[in-house]
Amino acid sequence: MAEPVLSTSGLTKAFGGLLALSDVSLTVRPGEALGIIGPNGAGKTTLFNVITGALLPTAGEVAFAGRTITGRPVHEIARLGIARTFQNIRLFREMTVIENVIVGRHSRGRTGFVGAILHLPGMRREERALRERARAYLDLMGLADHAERPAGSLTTGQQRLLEIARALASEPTVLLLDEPAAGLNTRETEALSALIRRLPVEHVRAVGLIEHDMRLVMDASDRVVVIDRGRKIAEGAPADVQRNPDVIAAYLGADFLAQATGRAANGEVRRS
Amino acid sequence: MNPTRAVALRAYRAASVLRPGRPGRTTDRRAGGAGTPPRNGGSLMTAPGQARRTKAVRIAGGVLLAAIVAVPIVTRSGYLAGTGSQIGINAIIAVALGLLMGYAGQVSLGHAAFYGLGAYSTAILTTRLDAPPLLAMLAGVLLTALVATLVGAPALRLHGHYLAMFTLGLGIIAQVIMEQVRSLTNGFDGIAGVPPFRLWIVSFQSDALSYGLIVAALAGTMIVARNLVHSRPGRALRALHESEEAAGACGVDVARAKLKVFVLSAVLASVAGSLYAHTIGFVSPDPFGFRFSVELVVMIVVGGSANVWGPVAGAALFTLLHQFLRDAGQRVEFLDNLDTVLFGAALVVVVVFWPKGLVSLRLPARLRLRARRAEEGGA
Repeated sequence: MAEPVLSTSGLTKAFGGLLALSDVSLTVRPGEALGIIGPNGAGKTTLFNVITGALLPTAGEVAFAGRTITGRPVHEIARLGIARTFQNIRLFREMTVIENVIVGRHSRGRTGFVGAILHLPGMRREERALRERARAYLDLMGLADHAERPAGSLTTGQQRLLEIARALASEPTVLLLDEPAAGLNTRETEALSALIRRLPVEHVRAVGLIEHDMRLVMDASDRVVVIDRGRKIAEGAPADVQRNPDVIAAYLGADFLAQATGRAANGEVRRS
Repeated sequence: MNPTRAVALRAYRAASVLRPGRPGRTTDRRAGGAGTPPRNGGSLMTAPGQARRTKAVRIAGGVLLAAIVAVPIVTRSGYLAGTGSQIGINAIIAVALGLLMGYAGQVSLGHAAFYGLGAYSTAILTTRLDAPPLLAMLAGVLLTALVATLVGAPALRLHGHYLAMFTLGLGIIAQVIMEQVRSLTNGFDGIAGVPPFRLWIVSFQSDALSYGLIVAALAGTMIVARNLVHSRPGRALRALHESEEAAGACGVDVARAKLKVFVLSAVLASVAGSLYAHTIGFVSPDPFGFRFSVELVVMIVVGGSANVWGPVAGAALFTLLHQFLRDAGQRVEFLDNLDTVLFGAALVVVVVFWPKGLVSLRLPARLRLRARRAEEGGA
């Protein structure tokens, strides 16, 4: 098996007494889309936050492309090649759609304060190149017609796509998507699913996907990891995970499961 | 060509560069219609102005501006040149502070300290060491950059408005030094005899030349500000203003960007201070205190920081009001401090009705909505 692109080992994050993450170890292999599911509040977004450097772990390590990246600042990790989208859309609403994508490509530019103030010729060339590439990503997402509109004026579905375009613009190695289908209708979700399936093939080396929409996760993921109350409770192929009783219990509660199946969590047969 | 026309022409050319919606600029232009109005209190610098102006109106505006700028020179009035110079100096600092407030979304409550640093550096070095003015200005700039970095680096790493507190402290420390360290600054007596600004053999001695120099410096400052908007670092700043998290995820070094814009705004204020020293010929602690720092912030809020012209408008308004009341206050006593009251009132009115500042002037949002509804109802 090829070396994992991204891996965490023993990742723990405590907020005072609350253990948001507890000893989470997982790997993302090259060419795969890894689904990450779990009930609300399980710690999935916290996991992304720790991986991308937005939060410092209490214990554990994050390794990316063979390097330890635990504790490095957010912008450095972004430049190394991990891009992400946000659960609660964090677009630059008052900038235009294309400007959002151009900012996504920030790490590929070089013009600094001095170059900008002096308006050096190299800067103009760079601006044009940035803009062209940004437009290509907008085309990919079907947003090219809206390039000059303020990002805040897009629909939720379009905004989610724009966030993905912005994340892709930096040509990352790993793309982490945090609930990209939230707020999308069925048709939009299907289109998103097709897009996500193409990503590890055409654009990035691997994708991490947090989602609640089970159909999307099952369609688009190669493997699935289940997090509940900060711990990894299951891992494997989507179909297997779906049938795992621990997973079902986590989502629906052990009592409900017992009622539904006639058995309690410890296997005792109960009468409903 | 006589010097009057030369300066007027320079001013006109400067104005044409600065007009919003300059043709030929393809980056960041919004085609088709104004965008949704900003939600926050107008403290965001946006890309080229939202109003669509016809070429004729633009030319008319440019000519009018050039005419206004040229008035003190044409009338050969020392009084007008002096007023114009003060407006120009205040405008430079206001534009500089507007960069910080509009982009990084941070407030500096001690910008007068950098203004004073530049003024005193120039005054001390030119009167005691006979330093050439340009060198003294440069020394002021370097010293200011150092102080701004020392204050800004720790403050801007933190999330929240710590810079306001740090700069508040800095402003007070600076004020105390200016007032108490007599060996250096001569305390309240101040330092007199600052020579006019000089570039090799050209001495900006007359009121007109002094004023022209300041207009040129203001134009330069505005060009710097505008160039910054339409650039990669400018975009990064606008992005971090909206979401530091997302900007960081795009690879923007947020703390460093904020620090850079803070240092830039401090350095520009220092240059303004040096120009002040050369223009007035005398520096004392009074103009560089906490009061002026607050007045600067008010200038920007009232004028608006959505584009380069806002702080200029705010500075002009403030300076004229201040001047008028000071002159009137020589006859009627209580008018002297009325400017504080009036400016405070203006601040409240502007924040309520025109959060983007006066430069975005149209009907107040509420009245505009009513007008639009009436239109739609009738159509």
